[in-house]
Amino acid sequence: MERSVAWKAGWEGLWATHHALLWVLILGGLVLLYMGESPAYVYGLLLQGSLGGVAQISATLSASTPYLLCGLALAFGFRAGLLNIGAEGQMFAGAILAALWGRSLVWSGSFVWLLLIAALAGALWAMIPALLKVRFGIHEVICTIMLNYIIFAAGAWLVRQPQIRVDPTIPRTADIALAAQLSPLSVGGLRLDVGLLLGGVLAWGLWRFLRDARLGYEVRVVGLQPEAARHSGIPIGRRLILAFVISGALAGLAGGLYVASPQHPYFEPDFSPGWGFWGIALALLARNHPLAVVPAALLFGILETGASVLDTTRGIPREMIQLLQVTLILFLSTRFFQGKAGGSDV
Amino acid sequence: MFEALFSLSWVTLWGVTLAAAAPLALAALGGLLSERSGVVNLGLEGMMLVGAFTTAWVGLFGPSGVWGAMLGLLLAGCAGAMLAGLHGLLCLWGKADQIISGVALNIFASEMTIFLALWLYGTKGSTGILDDTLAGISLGSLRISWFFVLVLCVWLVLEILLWRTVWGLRLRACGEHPQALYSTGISPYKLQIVAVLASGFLAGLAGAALVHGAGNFSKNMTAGRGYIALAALVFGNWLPRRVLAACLLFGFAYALNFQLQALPSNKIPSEFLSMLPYALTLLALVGWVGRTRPPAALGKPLDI
Repeated sequence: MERSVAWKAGWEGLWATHHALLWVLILGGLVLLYMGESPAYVYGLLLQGSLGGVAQISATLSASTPYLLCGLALAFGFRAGLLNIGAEGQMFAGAILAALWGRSLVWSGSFVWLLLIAALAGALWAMIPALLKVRFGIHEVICTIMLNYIIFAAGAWLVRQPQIRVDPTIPRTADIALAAQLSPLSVGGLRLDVGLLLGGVLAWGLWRFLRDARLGYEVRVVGLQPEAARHSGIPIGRRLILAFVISGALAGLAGGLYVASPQHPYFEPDFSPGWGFWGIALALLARNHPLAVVPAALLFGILETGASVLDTTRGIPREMIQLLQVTLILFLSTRFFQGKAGGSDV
Repeated sequence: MFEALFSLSWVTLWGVTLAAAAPLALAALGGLLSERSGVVNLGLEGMMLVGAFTTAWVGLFGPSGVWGAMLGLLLAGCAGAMLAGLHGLLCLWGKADQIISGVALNIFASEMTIFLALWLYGTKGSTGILDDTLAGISLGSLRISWFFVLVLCVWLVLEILLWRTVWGLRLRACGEHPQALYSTGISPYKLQIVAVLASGFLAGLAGAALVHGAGNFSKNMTAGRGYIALAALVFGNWLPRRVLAACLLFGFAYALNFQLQALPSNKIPSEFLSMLPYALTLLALVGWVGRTRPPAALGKPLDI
């Protein structure tokens, strides 16, 4: 696609997205009015709680990290035509293996190993549905949902084991070694998650990979026109496996980064509010463009941090904001919010 | 490790199998209607969840007795159908990707029921226990769940409706070649929306069956059953008989899990037992590869 056309499509997509967001905010406002709250006040509080100061911005940035990685995982999968709803399970795989191995990673700089292990675990867990899809033609959605439940159960079993848990009353693993933890950078009082920076770099890398690399091009062709891919000799199965594995590695990395954080250097079965599932929303918001996942993740970080402030100060349940988020997915999936050119390809 | 298997009461196990298969079969037969008309319904999970929530709500606040339970069933079906209507609206009118719409509706239903439970009961976890639950008929020591009787009725109706009526022929044609159907002057959209609404109604009933089995509603209590129902659809090659058989197989995995967990002599960790239905579903899909054929136009948006 010509560069100017790509830009135009991108702008139209952005306009349609912004439109959908506006509608969702109006809908949420009506619900808030019904609940007897002032929408302007509540939305103001949400912004203040997430962007109102250095501490709030730090919290928002840190909340955005798992969204960013899971959003990238889903968006990359979608580019190959895969709906990797198993990102949640792959993230669990990454977090579990990171928490188990992290205890013995005691030499300095070993957080690199921790993250690599987590990404590898996610990739391996994604290999199963990838092979099942390519080899047996089993649809990835049913398959990954089953694998999700299997790994959730495995995680719940793991934290009950006496040699792994820290305390019989708390279902979680012992802390990982200090050297394997990743402290956030401090830039003039602002806490900056290393994971977020890493996610940003990965977003850029994935964008360039899809745009410029031959493999990336082939992955895109497989997603857009499997028939064309077949006729031009692209090994569809291998490209699908590649896309699934990269997607799984990104999700696994999200789990590893969670465990590597000094605030919670352990695995617990309910650590995730469903980041892997919200990845679908981010991919839709970003129209599967890796770079666009970054602002989408920041938006979700703002909403999450703001929602927890609303929950604690005004007693507005955070599910209310999550309902708005999922309504946004429903809106964006329809033709009314697709943008005229159908979104950008590059 | 497995000696516990021998101390199981097999007659009870069959009864539990029927009870566990009933919600799966209701959802799967609903999914069959929708998918035979060409619309993928991945939202079964969410429709079951809203159905379950509604049943529990009617059971706790509505009239008591059998009529209260019937009202609960009816409203559960309607709640499922409402969500299905949304699915139809998004997919048929909004041309949304049917798979994305279904998955998003599942998340929507999950958040919605948690939000409403918080609002109505002040808790995100589980509701109180219902007073009246429909149990079943006892034949000696075998207990046949009422919901399984309902499943058999639905199955019979579907067999006749889909293969012995003109409407059924049209519906199946709609899933295979909607353009051909359209050229004879019949609107595929009308058929599809009716099929999707009916599938939502049945999935809502499936949720009701879950609540009557468990005694209360708890958050995300469907735990993947909607997806297992879809797997049963694939496994059963979109034929009601075989889908029913597949649901019985998956129901057996659930029953084995429940019964073994309840046994004091059981040494297998409960988490591993709870993996049984999911693992069996995966195995069934792998083992049955290449022997099934979905409706030709399944999941393809119409441009009529």
